[in-house]
Amino acid sequence: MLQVMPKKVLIVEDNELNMKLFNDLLEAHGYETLQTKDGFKALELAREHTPDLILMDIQLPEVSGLEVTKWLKDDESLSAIPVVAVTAFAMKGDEERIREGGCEAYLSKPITVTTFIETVRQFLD
Amino acid sequence: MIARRGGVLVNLVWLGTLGAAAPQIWPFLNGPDWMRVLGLLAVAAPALIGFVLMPRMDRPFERFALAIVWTGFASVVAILGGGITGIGVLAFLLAPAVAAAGGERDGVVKGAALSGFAAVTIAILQAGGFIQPAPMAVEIYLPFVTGCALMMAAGFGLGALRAMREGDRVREEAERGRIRVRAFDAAPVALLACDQDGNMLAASQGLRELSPGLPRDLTGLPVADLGFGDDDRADLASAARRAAIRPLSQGLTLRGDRGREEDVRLNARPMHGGSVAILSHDAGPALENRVREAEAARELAEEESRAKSQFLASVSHELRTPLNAIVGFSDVMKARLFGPLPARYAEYADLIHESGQHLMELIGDVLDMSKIEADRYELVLERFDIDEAVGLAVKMMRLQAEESGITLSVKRNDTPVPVKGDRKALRQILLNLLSNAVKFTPKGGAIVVMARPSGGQLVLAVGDSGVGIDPEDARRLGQPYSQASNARDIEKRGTGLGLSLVRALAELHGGQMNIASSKGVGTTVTVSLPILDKGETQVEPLAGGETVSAELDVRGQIERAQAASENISKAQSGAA
Repeated sequence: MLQVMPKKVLIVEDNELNMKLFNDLLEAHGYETLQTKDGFKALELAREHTPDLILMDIQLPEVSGLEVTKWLKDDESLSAIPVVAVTAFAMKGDEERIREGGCEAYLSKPITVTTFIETVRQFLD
Repeated sequence: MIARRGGVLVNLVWLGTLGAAAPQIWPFLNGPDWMRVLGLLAVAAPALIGFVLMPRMDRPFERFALAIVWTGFASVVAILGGGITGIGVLAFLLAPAVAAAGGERDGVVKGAALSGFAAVTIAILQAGGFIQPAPMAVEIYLPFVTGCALMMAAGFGLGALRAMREGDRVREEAERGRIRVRAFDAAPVALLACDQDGNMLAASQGLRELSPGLPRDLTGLPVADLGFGDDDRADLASAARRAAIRPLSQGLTLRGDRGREEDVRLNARPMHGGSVAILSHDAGPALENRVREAEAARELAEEESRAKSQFLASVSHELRTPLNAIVGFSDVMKARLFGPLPARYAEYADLIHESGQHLMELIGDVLDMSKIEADRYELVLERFDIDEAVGLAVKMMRLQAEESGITLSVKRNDTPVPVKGDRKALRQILLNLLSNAVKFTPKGGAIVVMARPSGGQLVLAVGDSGVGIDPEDARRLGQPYSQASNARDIEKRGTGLGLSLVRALAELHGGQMNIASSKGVGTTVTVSLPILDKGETQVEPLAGGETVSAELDVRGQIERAQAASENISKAQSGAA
């Protein structure tokens, strides 16, 4: 059997429960995860590990997830990594704002297991 | 005019008497005929001159000239006819009589003074022996006395009559003056009359209301006393002086009640010897204040609205974050992602998940309603086929309906019906109506959805064979935060926002919502929206009949659907 390197997903999320939820869901589907609740740390981790996908919470304590996404997209070595925004900003116009910010996809909280996994697979399989 | 008529009359009296007495006088006059005629003319002369002067009798000089003429005539008569002690002295009364006929009081006085002076002069001359008048001849004695008497009767009679009428006129004038004074005083505005030096002459009661605490008698007080500060005092004084020359309008500040300032507008115009002004409350500054206040209130409201919106956004975020964990983890359990669960726990996980989903919907409703109420809900208009939207909503609700044993059917249109509206809002309308219908329809019931163009509008109708609503409750439904009380199953309570949201979203589109319901038979909610996309805007008013026909259609459909489902269940139980 051919051993395939598991895909790495960087989760940027400041809520511990949600972090655990995403982590468990991803691990259950055979993905490896990297975790941080800090936007600056996210950039470092991305440079260091080059993940295959980044799940980005938009409302982070220090710096907005949109801002971090912008830095990622401005960095040539990182701009190819797809960013999926996961946010509770579910007001009208939020989705457009997030897509304009450079995110490839958008998941609104609360997530459902099915759409979450479908969205992740879309970028990793 | 009257003076002239009086003059004509006295002159005619004199000439008439002379004419009547002429035959008697004629033989008495000596000399040739022309001398006699000349004599008669001399006697007639004052009256004839009176006729000449009459057109100008309104001028003092002419009146004086006439008095001179009669006095002169009287003097001649007195000298020739018996002196100051003789009967000729009667002629001195003719000048005042003529003046009295002319209605001139001062003329009478002047005539009398003139005649008196002449009479005294003649008396002195007579006493000094400078003149020796002959007694008046018997032949002319009677005509002379008659003429004088008639002249005096006519002159003084007319004069007395005129004086009486003059008195009436003066009284009337005085009465009118008093009325004017009372009217000025009682005028329902603040009136003020000043002389040209700015001293008050009269004021209406209205002025006291405008500036209470003024002294009782304002007459002679400087108008500046009404002013509030030194500048206002100076303004008032200068306004009064200027208004005596030309009309003016300006704003001023008066001493108002209890030392308050009173902004007034002064409109003044000149009158004889000064000016008269009307003072009114000046709406200008008050209005500006009100505009400023309204502006401030609006800014505050906008600020509050922004804050509210911001607050809603953060509440939304805060609520969804923990909900994500609840719904997410329970969803993981529901999906048995990490293997099977003991039966009870599996059920609990499902219940947690379901409740979480419900909570999420409620939060969405509350937020949407708040946004609509804060006027911050913005419609995003798109073109789409309404059947597609209906199909999508039905698809989302079908499972839930089937689980509750309810037949959910759609009455589709034969051709696509393009609409231009907010896709999300329409989906929300449909989902809310469908979810209500499912909630309140018992097992074995039917729900029919229909969206069709009618009367230039799109009519959405969702009918059910549910418990129905009391007419009283139906009226309350659609008002935010109220819920039908009795018909609702306690298990199936909501926020009462579902229908309110439907109504609000319909109204945002310029449409309306109607509820038709009868207890135990079912409910049909119709929403008419002017959103048909016909390439051009063309909105015809919706006739009341259109919604009714949509309701009837839906009800018919429900009956058929119900009959069908009953048949099916009968067949099934028969088969079993």
